[in-house]
Amino acid sequence: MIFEFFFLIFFIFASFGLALVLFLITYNLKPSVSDAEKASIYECGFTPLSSTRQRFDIKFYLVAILFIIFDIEIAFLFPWTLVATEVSAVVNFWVFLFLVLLTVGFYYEWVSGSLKWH
Amino acid sequence: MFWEKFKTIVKKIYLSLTDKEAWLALFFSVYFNISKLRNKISNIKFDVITDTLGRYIKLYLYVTFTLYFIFSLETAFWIFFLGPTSNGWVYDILCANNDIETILNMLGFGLVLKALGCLLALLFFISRFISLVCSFGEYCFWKFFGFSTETQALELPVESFFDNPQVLLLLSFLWNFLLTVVGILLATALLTLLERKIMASVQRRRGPNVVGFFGLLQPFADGLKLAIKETTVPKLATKTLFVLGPIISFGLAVFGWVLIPFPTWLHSTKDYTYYSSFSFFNQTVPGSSAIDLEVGLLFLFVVVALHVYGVLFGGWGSNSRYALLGALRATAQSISYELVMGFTLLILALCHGGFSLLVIIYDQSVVWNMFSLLPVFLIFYVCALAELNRTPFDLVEAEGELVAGYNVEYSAMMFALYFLGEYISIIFSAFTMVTLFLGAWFFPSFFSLITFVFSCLFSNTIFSFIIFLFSVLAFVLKITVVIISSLMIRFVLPRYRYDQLMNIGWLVFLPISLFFLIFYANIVLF
Repeated sequence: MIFEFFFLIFFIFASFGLALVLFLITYNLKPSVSDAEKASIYECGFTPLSSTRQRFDIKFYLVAILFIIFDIEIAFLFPWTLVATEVSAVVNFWVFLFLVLLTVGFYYEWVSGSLKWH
Repeated sequence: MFWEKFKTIVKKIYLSLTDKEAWLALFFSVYFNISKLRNKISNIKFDVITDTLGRYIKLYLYVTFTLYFIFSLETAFWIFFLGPTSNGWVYDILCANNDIETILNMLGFGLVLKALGCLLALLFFISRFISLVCSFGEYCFWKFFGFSTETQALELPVESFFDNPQVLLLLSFLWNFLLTVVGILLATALLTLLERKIMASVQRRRGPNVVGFFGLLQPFADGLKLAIKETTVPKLATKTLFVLGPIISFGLAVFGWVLIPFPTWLHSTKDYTYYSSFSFFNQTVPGSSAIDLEVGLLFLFVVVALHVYGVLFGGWGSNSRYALLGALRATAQSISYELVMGFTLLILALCHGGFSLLVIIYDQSVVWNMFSLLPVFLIFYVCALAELNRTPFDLVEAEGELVAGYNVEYSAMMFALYFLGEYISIIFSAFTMVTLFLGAWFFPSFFSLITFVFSCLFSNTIFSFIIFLFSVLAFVLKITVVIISSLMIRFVLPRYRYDQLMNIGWLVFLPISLFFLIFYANIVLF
């Protein structure tokens, strides 16, 4: 097991290192001759009028929040799957209650229209 | 020899057919592939029954699927060769001024694709096979632990630099890593060519055919061109994030490969007798991944989930409107389909009672998950397409709206890193799909008769090698089919609108997957 995690860590560093090396080699291979036009941001040939660091649609933020809720649910259920057949019926009852509560919450989100894109 | 083996097997089958208890549990274990149920009634007879009957069920499914496949091929044939032209393909070949390659393409439209596809997948195996036959990594592994576990090891003089256990271990790591990376990169290069060739064939063109035979050197020429171009970094961009984006994208795509199991012939390091006891014709071929994590499924989930950061960093960091919108879209899309994928993985973990990829593979030696968990497989397939940002979910790169999506500002090698990461992920998703749902390297049941004959004719060593070759072939073919199917979708389907995409994710797939989770949980528990 220790060997496997060693290899895992090695693989992480090696794969990101490979990407970094590829980037650094090609970055230094060709000298950059930059001018104002080349270094500007592409916007259909115009000079950009303002910065893009502005407000964006609240929908994306809402999706992220809903994602966190459901992702935590999945994270809760993963350990349960391992022992689902071994634990008593009471435990499974609570797990199913948890699922039902989440389904009700999901239904509420659906009805209140926070899931819909217009 | 032959006769004795045959008689014992027939006797076993006859005895097991009279067992009522086994018959009862048979239905659930075969149809839903639940290993927990199999273990509940753990006698040998039961295993024999499930195996034989499972094979018959599989045979039936295969026959129907093959017929379906032939019919669909025939339809495709008529559409491709007779539909679009008024004169038909025979006229085209005979009367038009065509060169050899055009005629070959017309006659063997599938032939070229199959050859390329097989080459693509075989490359993995050549690399893996070399590593296994040389077994350099295993040698180093044992040498390392042989020294470290015994106390006297410390007294042994280190004769050369390469006898140093730490050095050997590091060398084995490097060797494994390099083999994997070279295999992946070669396959990715061929995949880009394959996609262009398929696209050309669908649109009745020839595709790249100038550089190398059949355009085989085209991807390498493209890569070289990208490598020697100048890297530009926009003035207003956040430099660190801008650089980190492609690096994360590529690094994660490569990193996922540490998990994927391959069939092995030499298996000295690990004992798989527990798994092979289930097979009837001794068909089960052991496999090994670079690391055999017990939480492989979870790890897969993590690697898939982290892909968002590459896109988000690149899109946000380049400070461009198109890139920002593309990145936001990609992130929202990925995380909403990731939930659905999480539910499918939950169902898999429930049915197999564990997260280990190898356990899931060995459980599929009788019936593949594709048949037993068909709805889950379909959901997973769609999710994989959405996660990969492929058509019909390629809103990120909607050319009409966003130019090129999150990688507008990228050029040269940084663009190539994004591109490579994307295509490596396609192959990775094909591998995961085959591993989780298509029974990995277990070949179709109508081979089991042949293997039965082989098992009686040859000694165990030769037999296991033959079976190994068969299973490698099966693995290669399955991966090729999955990759080509996911490529073909791009040329057939149009793109969704963004609100449609999100509504499908949240209002259709999420409730359905929730329902199936509860459905399969009920089957497993009660």
